[in-house]
Amino acid sequence: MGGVDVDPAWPSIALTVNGRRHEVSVPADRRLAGLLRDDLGLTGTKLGCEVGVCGTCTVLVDGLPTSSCLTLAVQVDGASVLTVEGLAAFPELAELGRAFVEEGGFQCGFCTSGQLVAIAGLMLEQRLSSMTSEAVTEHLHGNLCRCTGYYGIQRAIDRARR
Amino acid sequence: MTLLWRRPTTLDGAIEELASDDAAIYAGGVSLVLLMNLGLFEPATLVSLAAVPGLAAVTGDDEAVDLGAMCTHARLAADPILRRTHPAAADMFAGIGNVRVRSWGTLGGNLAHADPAQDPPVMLAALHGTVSVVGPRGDRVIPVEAIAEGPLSPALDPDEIVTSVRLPLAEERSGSSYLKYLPGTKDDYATVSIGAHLQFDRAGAVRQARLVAGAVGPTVVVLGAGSEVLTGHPLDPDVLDALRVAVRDEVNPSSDRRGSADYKREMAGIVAARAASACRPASARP
Ligand code: FES
Ligand code: FES
Repeated sequence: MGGVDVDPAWPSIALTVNGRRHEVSVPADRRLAGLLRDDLGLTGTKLGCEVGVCGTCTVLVDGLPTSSCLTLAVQVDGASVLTVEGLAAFPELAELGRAFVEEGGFQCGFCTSGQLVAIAGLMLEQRLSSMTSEAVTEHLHGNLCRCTGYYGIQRAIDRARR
Repeated sequence: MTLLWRRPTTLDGAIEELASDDAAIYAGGVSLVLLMNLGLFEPATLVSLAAVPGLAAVTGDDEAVDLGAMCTHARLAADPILRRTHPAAADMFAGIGNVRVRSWGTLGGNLAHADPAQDPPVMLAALHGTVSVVGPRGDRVIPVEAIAEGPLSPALDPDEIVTSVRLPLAEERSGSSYLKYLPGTKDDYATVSIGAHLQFDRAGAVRQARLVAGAVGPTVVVLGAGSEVLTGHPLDPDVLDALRVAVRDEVNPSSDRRGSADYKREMAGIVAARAASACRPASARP
């Protein structure tokens, strides 16, 4: 579990990110997105709106889809975090990445890590193939894309579902 | 200002920590960090409730179901007890915001945020829900609709903590529904939302009605006139139209980018009539 709060302004936390354990002290107001991007150098997680709407900052915290812009790093003390950089470790997700490339699942790519993490969350829980396409759309409606019109993303998901 | 993080392990410990100046309760963080990101809120101390035991359970007895304040929306949407006792409430939780909001947003945090455009206070007030609050001056129980004084102004002292919401079990021959009108995106705030809970007599007439509106006033609004129109009548088209008119005249919304005041008034009436229709017990539907 997590570390001991010696200093309430700089709590010590322990968490696992993409399978690697980290013990760090962070300012209490550090957002999870800041911890990942600035402290750990994992810049695949993007910051778009910073109000929980766009989904570019999506990561999985103990499997839960999470806006890392609206989450404090101290809040995930003891948790296991998966970011887009960690997805390559799962062979069952390889087809998802390929499908995004071949079906035109992105243009500028800014939303892509959030889209991939959100879909990967369903695949890793083995839920994607049994969900209706309406349920998949419902799950993803909080991941915005200003480029693709969602058609390419939809095709890529349909392929990954098979 | 340097923010301090406290993580008490008892309710009393949390109440003590909240005595310091500009301390705020940290539940799921969704609404609170959003306000911090917008620069609208700058607490000096955050008191996390995550390590306080006993706040995240759902329990039922033969009168009511109790929902722990630290239950997330996702947890409540999937809870087998709530699904059985109050399916319309479970569906409401499943439709809040987006999946990431539901992962972390909590029941207690949502109610204490006192936003009249959020879903839970509307549905839970319609279901006659009450909120349990603890604080240094003792415990109290208040109706869900009384938890807000105005937008983002809870009727709570800064060192009071919401611990649970109690929903009485539904009576025989009753039905509930929650409908929100979302002309924009699915995760937007509602233009208007209605929670309804109707009880019928054996002949199919409404015995008791409770209708609550969200997003059309500074707090959620219990629709007294709207409920009166239904009482004693079956839900036939004339009665539903009278309900539409009564609700239209009863609410007092303001214009914003989700619609003009007039438009919201019209839609409140229409959505109320639809929400009432959706309360018919399955056996009584045509
Ligand atoms: S940056 Fe977090 S949801 Fe947009
Ligand atoms: S690819 Fe550009 S925002 Fe989605």
